Amino acid sequence: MSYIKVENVVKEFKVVHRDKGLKSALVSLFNRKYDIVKAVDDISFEVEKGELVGYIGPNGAGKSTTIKMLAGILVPTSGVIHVDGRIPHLNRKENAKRIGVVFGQRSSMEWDLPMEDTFDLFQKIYRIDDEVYRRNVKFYIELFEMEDFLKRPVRQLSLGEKMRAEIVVALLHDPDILYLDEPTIGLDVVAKNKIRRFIRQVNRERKVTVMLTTHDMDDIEQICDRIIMIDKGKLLFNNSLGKFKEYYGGDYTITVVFADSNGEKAVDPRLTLLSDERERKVYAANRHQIETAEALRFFIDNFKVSYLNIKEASIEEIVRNAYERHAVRLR
Amino acid sequence: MHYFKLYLQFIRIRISSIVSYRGSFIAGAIAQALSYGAGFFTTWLLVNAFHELNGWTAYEVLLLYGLNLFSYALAAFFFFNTARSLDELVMGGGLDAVLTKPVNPFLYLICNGFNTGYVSHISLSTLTIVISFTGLGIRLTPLMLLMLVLSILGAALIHASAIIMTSVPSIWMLRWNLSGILYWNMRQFINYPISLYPRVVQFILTFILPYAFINFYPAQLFLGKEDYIFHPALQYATLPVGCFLFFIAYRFWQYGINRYQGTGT
Repeated sequence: MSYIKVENVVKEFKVVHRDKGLKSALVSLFNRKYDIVKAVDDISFEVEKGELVGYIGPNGAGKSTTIKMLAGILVPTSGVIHVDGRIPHLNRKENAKRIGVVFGQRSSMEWDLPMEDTFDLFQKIYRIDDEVYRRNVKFYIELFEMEDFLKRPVRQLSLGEKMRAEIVVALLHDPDILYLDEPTIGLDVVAKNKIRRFIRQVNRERKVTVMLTTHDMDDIEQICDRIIMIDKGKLLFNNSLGKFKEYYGGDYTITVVFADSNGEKAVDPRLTLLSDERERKVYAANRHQIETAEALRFFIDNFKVSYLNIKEASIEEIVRNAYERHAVRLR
Repeated sequence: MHYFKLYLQFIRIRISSIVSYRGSFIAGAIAQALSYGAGFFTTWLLVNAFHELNGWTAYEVLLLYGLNLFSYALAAFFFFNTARSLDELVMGGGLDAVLTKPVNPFLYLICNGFNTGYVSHISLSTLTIVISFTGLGIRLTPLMLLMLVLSILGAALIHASAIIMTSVPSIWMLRWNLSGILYWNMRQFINYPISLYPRVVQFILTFILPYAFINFYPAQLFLGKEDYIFHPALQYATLPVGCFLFFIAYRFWQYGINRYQGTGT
């Protein structure tokens, strides 16, 4: 049986139905209507031991809800989750000993103290054997290159340094699985690269199964073996990084500002018009159909152009393009 | 044992943190002492002006004040922070973080949430209780001293239950601020002997919101008062009432957590 097995999982939330305006707000005070929102809608996937899986999708796609169900925090409305043979919410504490969780937007560090104090606290929480604890602290401080800022109060650390400490704290009890919710959010490029390298190393050297949610295409390309993509609670893609790039990797957008009104004639079947504000137009394209150089030439040679910009597609755009262009090939 | 070690660790962390904010800690303690000192003083003035309240002298009313404040401080020391910030804990993901750990969330939050700001309450209320007993020339026998300790423990459990029960709905209501009205203000009611109040209020404070067990009934025991309201045995009931309420409060807390997780119970 697979290490993590998610079968037809649905998670519904009941939210108060709200219409605009004061009047309907007052009405809802007395006559409440509820909407059932499906945060996760019939999702199934499996993860093998030692894999490094990227769990991606736009904001509100249901990524965090899935992670919370895997961690045993939330209970699925229907469907079954098995992690290492256990149902997480029925064995929350047992499951918790085997997992490490980092929520990128939230700190578990003691703000006013050096990180070592939080480490000590986690030793007590997870009842980590002294010997194992000392060995792991030493190992991760070296691996994550943290000697320089070990003694500084956490509040004085940079975001990247803090994130490294957060990840280490989640690893001290030798978990088999590490769930990372947006581990690179808000970091600069250098810090992001470091975090990515560390995650890779932990996965390789400690055989930790890693599942991470992200918004960052570079995170995906540089560290994940496999991609699971969801949107609006539904599974859109579940395959290797290679396949992912084949399907979606070449997506890019071109923003053009035309110097005159001739821009209306800029039509090519390989360029999909995404937004049109008179002179300023945004196109979506794919490398497999038209190389960036050719696309540039198309605009520069044929039109008077005052601004041109080419950008790799973001996850939001990839998901949107997935609906428009790859709908048939999904799953 | 696990939670005791965890608790000690949290205490160490909190003390180390306080050291880096020493000024604010001291200022906070002084401000609290001033505000509760004012409460103490008005009670004193009021009772002195009337000489007595329904057969209760100033020193006796001070005992009510002291017992109420001491047991409140004891309960609030452990529960105030967690209860007060429960909605933030839910919205900010703090509760999720606790639930990813192999711990009982209730015990964990108590270990983590203790509030060091109650040093001034404890000292002020201890002083009040001592003043009251010396002023009245009462010397407590060892048995009565034990009863005092047990009653304060029970009273603290009653306060704790009230703090917990009024805050649990914020797990699912998020912006829940009725706790102030339901509890924080109600607490003032029992700074005076409840024998003063109409029968219906006495009934409520004994059987519905049993705050009278916090100070009125045990004080009757220590002071040898005989203005029984319902039954003399109630003087001994503070600890059992506290345990019972705390049990209910804990079950209500679990209901709140289950509801958050969506177990459908």
